[in-house]
Amino acid sequence: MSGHGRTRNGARRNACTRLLGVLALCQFTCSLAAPPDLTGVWMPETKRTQPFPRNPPYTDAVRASIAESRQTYDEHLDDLGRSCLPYGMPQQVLGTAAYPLEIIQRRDRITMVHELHMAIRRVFLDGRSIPADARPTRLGYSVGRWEGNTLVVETAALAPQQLGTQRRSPAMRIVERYTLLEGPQEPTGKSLRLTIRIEDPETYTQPITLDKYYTWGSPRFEMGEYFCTEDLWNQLATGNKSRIPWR
Amino acid sequence: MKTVLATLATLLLLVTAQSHGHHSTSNFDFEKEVAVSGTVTYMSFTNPHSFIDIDVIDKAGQKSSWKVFATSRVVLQRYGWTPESVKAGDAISVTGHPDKTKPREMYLTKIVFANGKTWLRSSIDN
Repeated sequence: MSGHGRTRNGARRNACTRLLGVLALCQFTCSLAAPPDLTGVWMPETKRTQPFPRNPPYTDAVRASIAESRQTYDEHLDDLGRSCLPYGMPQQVLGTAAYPLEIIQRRDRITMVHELHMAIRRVFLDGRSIPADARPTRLGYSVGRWEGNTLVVETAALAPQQLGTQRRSPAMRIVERYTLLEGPQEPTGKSLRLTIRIEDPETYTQPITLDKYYTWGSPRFEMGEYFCTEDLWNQLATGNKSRIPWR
Repeated sequence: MKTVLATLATLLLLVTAQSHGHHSTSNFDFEKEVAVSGTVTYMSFTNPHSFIDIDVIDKAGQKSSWKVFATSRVVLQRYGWTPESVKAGDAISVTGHPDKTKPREMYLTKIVFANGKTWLRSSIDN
């Protein structure tokens, strides 16, 4: 091989080494910037979770409306549980009963599957804003972003609700901050702290903020199936007319 | 006074309903426990909740029907129950919190199945 050839090979080797170095550096910095993977099953934790306030800071108008609704309370119309109609947000994420949450994380979207009522929330992380004309729903329209290790989810376009103390105006906006906690101090090695801020100036005089915790549930827990009208169907199927206590 | 009490009772009911996320259990007296043994006449192993109807024969030979409220099928299955755990005709023993107004209804806290195995409500994480 000529001296010229050796020089050219050496230059190629140097270029390759530099490229590999750049790639390794990129991989290192990219892994530093990558958000944690929350994918998996999470079980609500009662111990550290703060309950919803017993006396929420209702506006005077809502307080009066609640007092009025007590006079006309109809358990069949005003207790959504009887009709299996979920309360929607924020109640969907506030409960601490033993119904897990499954998070499915992708770069541009996070899907939250709640076993209770099999409620599905889609959180868009593709940079979009909540559309001004988004159709109001019980779970609302959610967009998210990462702030370091914290997933920030903003929800609006919520359908109003005027039942008993379950109040929600179209002005409600909810911000959830999910932070991964890891270490031997966590009950199953890792936990998720959700700090939720509920702002609705037409319902509350000030925002309500509270912390909820989930413990890592995989692989001990698997998501189950929750169809809320099985009891009614079971009676049709068996011909049994036994009174259902909660209907 | 009556109105104030009624308002407080309704408020308590609504607050409890909210904290449970779906159906209220405020009708049960969580300070008390009651235990009976009997024969299963109907099992609703279902969501959103399950319930067991049992016939109980007292010492005087009198039969009474009890209704035992339990949590949802999906939760019970996660904590060891199967559709075969409780069937019509089974002889079972149950312990639970009594209903405040209905004397033969309870919220299940412990059951001894027909196969002799015991299950506790407290085995559920939350």
